[in-house]
Amino acid sequence: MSRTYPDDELSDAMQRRLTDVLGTLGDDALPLRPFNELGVHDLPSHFDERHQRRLALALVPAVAVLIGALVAGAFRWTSADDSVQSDNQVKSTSSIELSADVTSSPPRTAPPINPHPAPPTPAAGLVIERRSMTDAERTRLDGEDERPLDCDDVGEAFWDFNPGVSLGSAPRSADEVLLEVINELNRDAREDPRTTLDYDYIPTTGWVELTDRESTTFVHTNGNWRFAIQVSGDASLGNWTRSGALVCEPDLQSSSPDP
Amino acid sequence: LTAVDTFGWEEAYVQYGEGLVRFAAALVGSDNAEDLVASTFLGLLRSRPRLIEHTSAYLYQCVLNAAQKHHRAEFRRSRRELTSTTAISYEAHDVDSDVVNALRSLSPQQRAIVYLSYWEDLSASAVAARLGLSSGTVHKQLARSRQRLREALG
Repeated sequence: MSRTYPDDELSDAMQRRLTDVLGTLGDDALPLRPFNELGVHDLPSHFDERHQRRLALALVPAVAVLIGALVAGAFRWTSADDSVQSDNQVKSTSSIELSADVTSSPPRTAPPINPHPAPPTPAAGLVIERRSMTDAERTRLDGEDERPLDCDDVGEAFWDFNPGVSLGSAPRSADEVLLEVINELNRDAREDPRTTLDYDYIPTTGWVELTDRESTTFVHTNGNWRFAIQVSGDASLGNWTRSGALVCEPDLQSSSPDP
Repeated sequence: LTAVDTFGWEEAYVQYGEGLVRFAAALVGSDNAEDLVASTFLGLLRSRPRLIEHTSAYLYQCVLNAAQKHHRAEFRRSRRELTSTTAISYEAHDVDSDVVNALRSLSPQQRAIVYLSYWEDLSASAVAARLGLSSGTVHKQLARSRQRLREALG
């Protein structure tokens, strides 16, 4: 095994003690329960609904092909001779019905099925603009950690999760807007088990407790609201005591682009 | 990429489950390890991510993140109850308590890196790939972890 810091390696005795403990912890863990005892059958109904919806979408092309084949068949059967029609009574009956439709109106082609439909536009409301970071910001925010900020960092994730948070048009307080944003974020976070984010809303202050990750500050404005995400902490502490806040306040410096 | 709708979660559970429980035990202790892995899989079954890349790495990252959530929840609870600052409860019977305490002082991410480096004997680049981190982060966190372990065990 190659290690980058050979001089930094633990002594053999320490490694032995460490691996002994790691092994014991694993040995002492309860055995994995059978898959069917996970509670899969207790999943909420949206689990099945989503699955069925995906299945239905997957079947659309097949149905389209089937319809196309039927229409093409109708043309073919209409031009077939009588002997064939008499030999295929069922088919000819179908062809009469279909060809009647065809002759009574010009042939129409089915609307093309777009395999890559445009994503739904955000709901009416305000789309939050995401400000990209400069290299200097990245360097500053990364601090001594070499790891560049990535999409799993708080600020990035905040906007990547849902850049089109609907904030509605009715006048509302910053607290209300913030709560809606947090609800959106948590809803999205639940969709992706990889995310480390969870958000606690503290309505009395309008601040939101964020979690871990590197020190960073992001500011986003959308014309009406200004969001500042501040995450701070000492990475050298080696634990999650890093914390931060999301604050939302009316953006007084920009004029509202929307009536 | 693996399309999840055609992906066999049960097979993944069987194939990677035991290893994930061991991994989780290093992160949250023996008592909570199996629960953590089970809840991680349940979360996956609920959310059904559309596409995943590198199943094994994906699952390890999910478990690590679940451990971090667990850690935060424990921390909050302990802070609220003002009972203890210990965020992780290891089942410590017949276990080298100095090592356990040293592990406790590490973050979940550091524990994960230490576990994969010393128990699974992975190189830094392999650890980085498994956890979705950069090699630089793994090197740095591993160096910090070793320093802490040396201080505690020296």
